[in-house]
Amino acid sequence: MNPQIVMSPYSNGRMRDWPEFRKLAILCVKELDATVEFVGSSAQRHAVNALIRALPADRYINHCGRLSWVQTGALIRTAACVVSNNSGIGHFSAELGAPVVSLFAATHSPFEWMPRGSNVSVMVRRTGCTPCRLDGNLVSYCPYNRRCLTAITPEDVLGEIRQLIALPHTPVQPGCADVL
Amino acid sequence: MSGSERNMDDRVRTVASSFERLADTALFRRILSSKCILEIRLRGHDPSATSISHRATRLELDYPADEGKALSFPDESQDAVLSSYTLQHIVDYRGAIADWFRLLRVGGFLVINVPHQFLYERKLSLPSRFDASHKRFYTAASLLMEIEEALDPHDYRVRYLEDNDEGFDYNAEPQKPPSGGHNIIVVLERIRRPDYADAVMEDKPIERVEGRARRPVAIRAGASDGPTVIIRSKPHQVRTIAVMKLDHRGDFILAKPAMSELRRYFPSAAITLICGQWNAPDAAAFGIFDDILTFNFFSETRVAAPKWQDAQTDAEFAEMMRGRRFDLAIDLRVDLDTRKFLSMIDAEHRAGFGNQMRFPFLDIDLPIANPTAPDREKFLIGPERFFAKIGTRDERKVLYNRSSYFTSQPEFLIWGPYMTLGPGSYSVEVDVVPLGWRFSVDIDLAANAGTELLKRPQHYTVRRKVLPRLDFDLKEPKVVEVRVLSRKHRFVRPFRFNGCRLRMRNQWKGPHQQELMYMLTSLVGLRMNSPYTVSEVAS
Repeated sequence: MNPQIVMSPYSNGRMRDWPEFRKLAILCVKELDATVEFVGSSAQRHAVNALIRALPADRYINHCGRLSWVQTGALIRTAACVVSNNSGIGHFSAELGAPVVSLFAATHSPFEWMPRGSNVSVMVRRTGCTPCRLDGNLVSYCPYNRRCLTAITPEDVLGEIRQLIALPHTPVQPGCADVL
Repeated sequence: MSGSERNMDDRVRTVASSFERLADTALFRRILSSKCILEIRLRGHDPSATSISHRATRLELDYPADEGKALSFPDESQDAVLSSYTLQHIVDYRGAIADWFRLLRVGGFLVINVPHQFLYERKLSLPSRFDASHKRFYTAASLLMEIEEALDPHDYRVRYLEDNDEGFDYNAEPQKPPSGGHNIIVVLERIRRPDYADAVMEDKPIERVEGRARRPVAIRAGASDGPTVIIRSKPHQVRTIAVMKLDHRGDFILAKPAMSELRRYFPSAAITLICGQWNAPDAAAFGIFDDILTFNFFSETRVAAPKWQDAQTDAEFAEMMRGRRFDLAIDLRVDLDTRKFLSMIDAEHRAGFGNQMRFPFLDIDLPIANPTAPDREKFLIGPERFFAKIGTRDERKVLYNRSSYFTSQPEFLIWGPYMTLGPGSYSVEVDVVPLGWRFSVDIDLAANAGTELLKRPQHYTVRRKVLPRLDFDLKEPKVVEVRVLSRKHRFVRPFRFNGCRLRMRNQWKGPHQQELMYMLTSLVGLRMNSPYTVSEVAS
């Protein structure tokens, strides 16, 4: 069965959005023989349509706006790995115990904001301009073309996905799951 | 005639009747009168079925054999492409729709005709009642959704969309093939792509508004780009915990909620308590510890000072901990004096109050100072918020260090900060200290730019160690001003003014020691639930 990779390519602020999700999705299908399922809000549907246009419909599936939060959780529970920006889907996936690769811009410290879970990898580029505190949609205010994000390569992220998929699933520590 | 053939024949009739019905409309007259029409159908249906138009080139596709294959027609070679009852058989609907659309000239039409889920199938989910090779059911919305996935919305417009139920028998059993119209027809017209389309699809940011300040993004001096850092979960099971609570009986009682919380986070861990001998019975009765070690760093009562720099005490502690190893060690004392013993415990993770600047060995630190430390509850108002008649001023002080200054009449020396305060009881200390001789001043308190006197001028002696203090009450919000005045026929001696310390009287908003200990154990519980390691990738 093809591994199912869930991707959430858009967050509430464009400064946080890693711009290489299309390349990563293609790599996941090519290298892992994966099915890539995109999740997000209905407002993000057109953007994801553009992201997967001309890619085969049976391998790249756009769920944006079509799943409730609960249905999204059900999808995440079956995923081999979830890839997100610094966004709610990353936290949700970590809470559910799913393997998560979370991509952080220099806008926020991952040590303060990263998803917490037993199968989480956070990737962040330490650029000289960190932390810039340019949140939201202030992309045009970044004089460095968001290099904190663009410098994270799809190949590096794929490598991290491979590692997480290969790891045995680590359950949340007994006694803490009910606290969380 | 088999059932499958009968269904196929029904489809052909439906398609033909759909178009016949629409043939007289202006849009379909335009479509059907085009020169180059490509009609795509599924191979295998009735070969005697007539084409939509005598001009049409009929192309029969075979799925799944033709899945993923591009049609062998050049781009923009057709005036119209008509797909009848085909899309529902194709897995890669995105690729098929995009390929059909590719063939259209600007102004050309793509007509897609598919069976309607609630007219043809009349069921909620696959498989189809009548054709097991259907991959999806359609409504008008789901068909448009597939079109939006396949095509850039700048390249087409929807010119026609219909649920065709003409002649449909709504009384018929769903198990039987439908009679009458039971399909969806959508017509797209290819339009010239607007120049702005690429920018829209790339979601390029809107240009900055003129005059709006650009936020500076500075690279710190000497800072350069580093590698990609990966923070990975490090699965870790906490099996053994050492908790230090070396102080007195009351302190131990206050720590109980934190200790209970610790047990709740780590129900199966072996917890060893290290406490003063006087607390051991209470700890044993508490019933959450697996082991209790006693160590009298303090005394039961404060008759003897703690053994601060006592090498023998350190050696005793080291000896007691010899051979013991813990996954986690926590010092629950808020003051810092017992932290050295924490560093002597062989533990993978150490947690306590303080910060890593002072205690680099702490793996988990709650950087909150002891709330009983002086001035924690005071709000400092810096000297930059004040005006001064004499002396020099910078961010940290107003400094008058010249010769003594004689005033024959009272003069305002320092005034400010014009701060709005809400109703309440306040106390303000004026942090003014002499550089040499003591001297006396008057201090008053005013509101509304000095027009309302809240506190009449009072004499204060400016001297070291004791700051002038004014208590006052406000019944409604006021903009408050503290004023320091010279006195008539008195000298103003050299002084330094450091601002004011404001606090609300009879109020404490900071955390209690018990709450702090509870916070620390909660922090430890959460952190140890999701421990992590940090590494770098070279790329």
